[in-house]
Amino acid sequence: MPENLLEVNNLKTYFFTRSGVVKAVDDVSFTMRPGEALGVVGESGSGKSVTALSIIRLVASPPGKIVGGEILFNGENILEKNNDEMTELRGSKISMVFQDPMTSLNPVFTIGYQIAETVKRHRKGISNDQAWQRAVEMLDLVRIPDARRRAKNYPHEFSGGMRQRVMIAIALACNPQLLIADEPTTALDVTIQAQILELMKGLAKEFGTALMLITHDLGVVAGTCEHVIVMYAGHIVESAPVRQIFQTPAHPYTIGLLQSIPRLDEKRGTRLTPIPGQPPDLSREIIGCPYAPRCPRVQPRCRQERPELKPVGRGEQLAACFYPS
Amino acid sequence: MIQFLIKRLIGLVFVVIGVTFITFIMGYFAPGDPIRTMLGEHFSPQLYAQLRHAYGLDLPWYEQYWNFLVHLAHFDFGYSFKTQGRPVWDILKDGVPVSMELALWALVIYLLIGVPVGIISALKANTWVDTLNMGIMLVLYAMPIFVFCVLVQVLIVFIDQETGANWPVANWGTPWHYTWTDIQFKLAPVLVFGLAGAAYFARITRTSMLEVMRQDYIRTARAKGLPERLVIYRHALRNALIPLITVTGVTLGFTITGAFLIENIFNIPGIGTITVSSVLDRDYPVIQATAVLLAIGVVLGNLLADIAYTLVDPRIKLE
Repeated sequence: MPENLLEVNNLKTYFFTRSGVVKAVDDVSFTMRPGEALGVVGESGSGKSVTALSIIRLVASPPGKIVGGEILFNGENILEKNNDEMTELRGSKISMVFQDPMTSLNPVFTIGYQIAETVKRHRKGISNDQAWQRAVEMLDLVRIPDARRRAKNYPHEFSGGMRQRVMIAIALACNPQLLIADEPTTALDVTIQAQILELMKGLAKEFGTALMLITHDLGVVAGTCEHVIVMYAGHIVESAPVRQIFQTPAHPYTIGLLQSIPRLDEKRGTRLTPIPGQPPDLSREIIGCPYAPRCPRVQPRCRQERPELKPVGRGEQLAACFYPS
Repeated sequence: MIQFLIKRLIGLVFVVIGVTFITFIMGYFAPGDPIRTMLGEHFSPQLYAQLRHAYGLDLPWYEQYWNFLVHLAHFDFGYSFKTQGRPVWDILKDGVPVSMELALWALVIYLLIGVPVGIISALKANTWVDTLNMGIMLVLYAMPIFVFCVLVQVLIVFIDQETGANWPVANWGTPWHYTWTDIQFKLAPVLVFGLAGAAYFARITRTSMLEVMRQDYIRTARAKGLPERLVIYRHALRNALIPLITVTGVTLGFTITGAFLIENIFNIPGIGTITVSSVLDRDYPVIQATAVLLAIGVVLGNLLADIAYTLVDPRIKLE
C-alpha cells in the first residue's frame, strides 16, 4: 500500500479554444494522505476546479485535454485507465460534490432513486430494496429529517442546503476514499454554509474519507482542512499546513488574499486591502512569475524567470517565490 | 386532476364558440353567394329566394349564427349547400378516419425517425454525422410540401415505367385496412407527411438534447460512475423529451383535420380534401364544421400533452 492516497505529478490540463490554448492547469503537483483534509484555494480561473475535474477525469473534452503529468491514485495512474475502469472508480472510490446544488440533481427522479442508483451501480448483486435502504440510511446520516418519507420526494421539494446534503449523501454512499468538494458552499446561505461544512468534515472523518475542499474562501479552509494549497493562474504558488498559511504566509499572493478578508480581531474601521489588477490571460504565454504584474514586492528577476515551488524553511511549507517573506 | 379536466372541457366550449364566430363572420362577409354558386348561370329569382329561405340565409347574421350554435349544441352541423340536402356530418364522417390514419402514421414516423436522428445528431454534435443528418433534415423541412409530393409522384411514375411495377401514384386504400394494395396506396403519402414532420422533430430533439447534456445533473450522473449509455438514456433523454410533448400534442390536434396539401395532391378522401373543396364551393356549413373539428382537436391534443407532462415531469401538477 503506497503511503499517499493521491499523488498528482506535473499535471497539465489545457483547453484548446479558438482564441488559443488556455493553460488552465500548468505543471501542478501535490499529494494527499488517506483521510487527509486538503484545501485548494484560489480565485476564479486559477485552475482549482479543473484540477479537481482532471482527477475524476470529467474535464469537458473537447475543448479540454489532459496533456501531461500523472495522477496516481492508490499508486495507479488514473490517466492510463480506460473509460470502463474510470466509471468503476467514479462514485465508488472517488466522489465529487459540485457547487450548485439547485441544478446538480436530476429533476425527474426522486432523491432516494438518485442515491440508490449510485449504490446499485457500484455494489454488485445488491437488490433494489437494499439499495433503497442504503439511500434512506444515507439521508439519515446527512441529517435529513424523516428520511424514509423524504426519499420519495423530488429535488424541487428540497431547499438548496437540503439538496447539498443529498449530494453529499450520493457522494458518500459507497464509502469513497476521496471526496472532492468543488465550492460546495458557495451557492448557499452563510448560515447553511457552516452546517454543510461541519457535516462534510464530520462524515469524512467517520468514513475515513480524504477530503479535497476547493474554495475561494480562506475562511472555509481554516476550520475544515489540515493542509492548504494556494493556486494562481494554473500554478500552485504556496502549499502549507493550515496554521502556517494563516500565521506565516510566504507567498505575496497568499498574503494578499489574507489581507482581503475581514477579521473579527481587527480594530474597527480598518480598511480591507484588495489585490490590484486582474489575473493574467491564460491563453497567452506567461514569462516569469504569473503574479509579478500584481505583486507589491516584484523584482526584475520575477519578470524573467518562473520561480519553482520549494521549501521556505518552515517544515512542510512550500512557496513558488524568489523572495518569500 | 378531475377539476383540471372539467375546467379544460369548459374552456373547450368557449374556444369552439370563438372559432365558429370568426369563421362565421369571415364566411358571411366574404364576397360570393353560395346559392348562386349552387344554381349556376341560369335560375329563376323565385327559386333563388326559396332556397335562400330554406337555408336560413335570408335571416340577419346574428340569427343565422345563433341557429348554427343551437344546432351545434345538438351535434348537428346542418346541411351542405353544395350537395343539396346532404347532412354535413354525412360528408365528414368518411373523411375523419382517413385523415386520422394518415396523420397518426405520420406521427409514428416523426417519433421513430425524427427523435432518434435528433438524439444522434446531438450526441455527435458538430461532427460530419451531425452535419449530414441536419443537412438532410433541413432540406426535408425547408422544401415546400407540394414540391415534395410532386417529386415523389414523379419518382413513382418513373419507377413504374422502368420496372413495370404498378405502384399507385394517388388515392387511398380502405381506411385502417392493411392488405398489400392498401399499403401500396398509403405508403407514399405517409412517408412524405412523416418525413417532413420528422425533420422538424429531429431539430427540436437535437436542440433540447444539447441543452440537457450541458446541465449540471448530467455531470453529477457521470460523477456517480454511471456508464455513458445510462447517462444519456436514463438521465438526459427523459428531460430532453419534455419539450417534444408540447409539439406532439399540437400535432395530434391537427390529425383530425388532415393535411390539406398532401391529401389534395395524392387525392386522398380525407378532411383536408373536403375542406379545400368546400372553401372553393363556398359551402359554409362544411367549412364551419371542419373549423370546429380542428378547434376540438387542438384543444384535446393540448390537454393530452398537459396530462403527459405530469407523467414525465414531477415538478408539474395540474390544477
